[in-house]
Amino acid sequence: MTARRFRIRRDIVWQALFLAAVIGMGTLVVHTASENLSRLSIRSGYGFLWDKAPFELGESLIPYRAGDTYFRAFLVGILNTLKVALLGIVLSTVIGTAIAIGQLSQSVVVARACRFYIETVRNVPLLLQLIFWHTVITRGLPPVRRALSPVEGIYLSNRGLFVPALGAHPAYGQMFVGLLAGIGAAALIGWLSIRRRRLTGAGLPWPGLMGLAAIVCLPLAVFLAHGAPVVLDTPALKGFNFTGGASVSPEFAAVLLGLTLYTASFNAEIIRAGILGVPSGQMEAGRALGLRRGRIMRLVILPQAMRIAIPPLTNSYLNLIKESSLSVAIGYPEVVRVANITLSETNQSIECVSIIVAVYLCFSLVTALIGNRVNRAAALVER
Amino acid sequence: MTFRHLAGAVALAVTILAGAMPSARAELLDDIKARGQLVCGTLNYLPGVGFLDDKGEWSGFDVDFCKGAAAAILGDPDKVEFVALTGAQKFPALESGEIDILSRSVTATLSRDSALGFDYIGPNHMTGQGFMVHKALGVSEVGDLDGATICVLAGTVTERYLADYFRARGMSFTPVAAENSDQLYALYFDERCDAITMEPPYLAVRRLRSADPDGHVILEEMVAKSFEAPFIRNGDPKFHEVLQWMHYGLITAEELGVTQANVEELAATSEDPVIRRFLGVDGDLGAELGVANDWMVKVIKAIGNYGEFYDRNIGKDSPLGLPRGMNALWRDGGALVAPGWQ
Repeated sequence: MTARRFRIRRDIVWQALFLAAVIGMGTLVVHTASENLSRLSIRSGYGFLWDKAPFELGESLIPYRAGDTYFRAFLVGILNTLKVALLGIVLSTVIGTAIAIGQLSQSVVVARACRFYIETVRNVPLLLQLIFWHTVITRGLPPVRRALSPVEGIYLSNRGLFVPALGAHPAYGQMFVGLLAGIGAAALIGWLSIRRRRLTGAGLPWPGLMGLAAIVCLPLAVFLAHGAPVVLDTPALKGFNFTGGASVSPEFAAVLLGLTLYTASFNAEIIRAGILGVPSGQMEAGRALGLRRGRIMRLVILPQAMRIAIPPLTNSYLNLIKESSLSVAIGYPEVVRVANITLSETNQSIECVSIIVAVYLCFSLVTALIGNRVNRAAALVER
Repeated sequence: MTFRHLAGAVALAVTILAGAMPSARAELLDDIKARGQLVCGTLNYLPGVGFLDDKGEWSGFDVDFCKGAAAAILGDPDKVEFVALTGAQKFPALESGEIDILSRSVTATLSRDSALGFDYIGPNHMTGQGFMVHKALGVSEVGDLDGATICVLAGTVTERYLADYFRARGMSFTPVAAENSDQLYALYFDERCDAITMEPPYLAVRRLRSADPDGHVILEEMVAKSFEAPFIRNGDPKFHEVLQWMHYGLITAEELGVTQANVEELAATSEDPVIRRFLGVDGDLGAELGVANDWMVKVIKAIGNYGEFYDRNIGKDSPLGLPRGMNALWRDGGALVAPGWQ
């Protein structure tokens, strides 16, 4: 036997042993689980998702009430998770950027204040912060009958914030279409401006202002054409609670506040590292061109800093999405809460946990995918 | 590595795996005896029901049941390991075998017995699901609560009964759920909710301990009965028999006037054949169950008869001071019954 053939045979044996171990573990898990489940006469599978869910969830983006399917209940939970995660990502990035710039400020007070914020917030466990904000809101704000009302129609109590919302009027749907058209027009103006600059060296005059005008003017024109109808759905205290209008629940507010402030402290450090990672020559070059500090930051430093910051920021977003599961502790009806209540109702624990796993895995993979795409687009193209 | 090599590896893997499958398991009662310890899932935050104090001592109605079970099976009420569980953890913990008994004021229902694959003992505490409301709201019956915000303990059957009751009457409500009841009551007392739903005994305790006990009404009407019972997994008939007869034994002891104080003396001196048989002095009823003949002596020595067990933890001798109500002996107008001890 040649040495080569011996090596191949040896490799095969090792591969086989490894494969056997993996398959063995897998089979053992499935076998044990199914044996135990059948011994306990528990049905398995996801059929229960089409049964009626006998519970209410409190807040939902889609119509839901007890008696709808478990599937719909899960959908409510997933959307609630998505809502808080998306808002959290946007807000934590904005606040994080502000804090990062503030930390590098020449004013000692501002820089120290930002440093203090970061060191405090990122060193306190998130769960504690969520409970803290929830307690502050439910305990600090007055009960519903003594709700604060700074302006007629706006009410703040420990049941949440209630504000007037646009009621039903045909004009509003058309205004939305107008808004979309305005955004489209603004994008077109931007594209034309860039193209013209490429061709002639000078873009359209005031492209930003023109775009903004398109976005504002088109819906406004529709609004005026309909005779400026104002139909407001104003919240009013009816029976036990405020009804009508739009509302933000204390649970959602606490989760969003906690997640945003916590993640912002990490984002601030990431973005600061990005800013400091831009060679100081860039700042000096900007100054040599006669740009002001703010413009240098906006036009020269931040775009390059973001290039450095995108991969760790993606990580930070992944953490935010996963940590939103902690909000089950204060009763925000996100996917874990739905899974928990479904679990105690149906006892399909393996199925429910697998749904949670799948949901977070999907969210994380999609976020990572978007992060990678943005990173590739922003990366320096080496020629 | 070519496909042929891979195929060879797969074939070899399958051969290695053949015949390596797990075998059958023994009866839980024997496992517990061999282990010398009972593992009991309970709660740790509700004085009188299940409570872990600052000295590390467990007490309460649900805790005592497990102590009694340890005395019955192992002859020593201290041979229990307690595991504190949240509402959402309770069934997975029992199902997975992490605990032997779930004694955590769990409401007995048909589906928990059948579809969930559990067995229950008793029920050993009979109550219902009621409401406590802020008095200022002027609510006098559950029907007045249409549109209210209601605090409900997450992961319990009260969530379902609450929704069922409102749905059946075309009423609506907004739930506010919390994972543990300390958190839940704080939300209610801060007026985050108009009402809170729970078994009235527990509502009464919290009202008593609140800043303003007169500011809250407990509605008389109950939306569901809640007969609470210790749970075990299906498929351990001997274990179930021992626990079920321990429950009957507590009731029988009260009927016979056997108490924590006199049980040892009665076992030594009583001439009454009923008591002698009950306490295992005559016959071998205990041995037939798979435990010691004098097992009921150990149980009653540890936790008393049902009346003592109830009164000490949640009844008239406890801070909760609940009346026996439905939980009195059948001959006193209650619902506690036990078959004959022959």
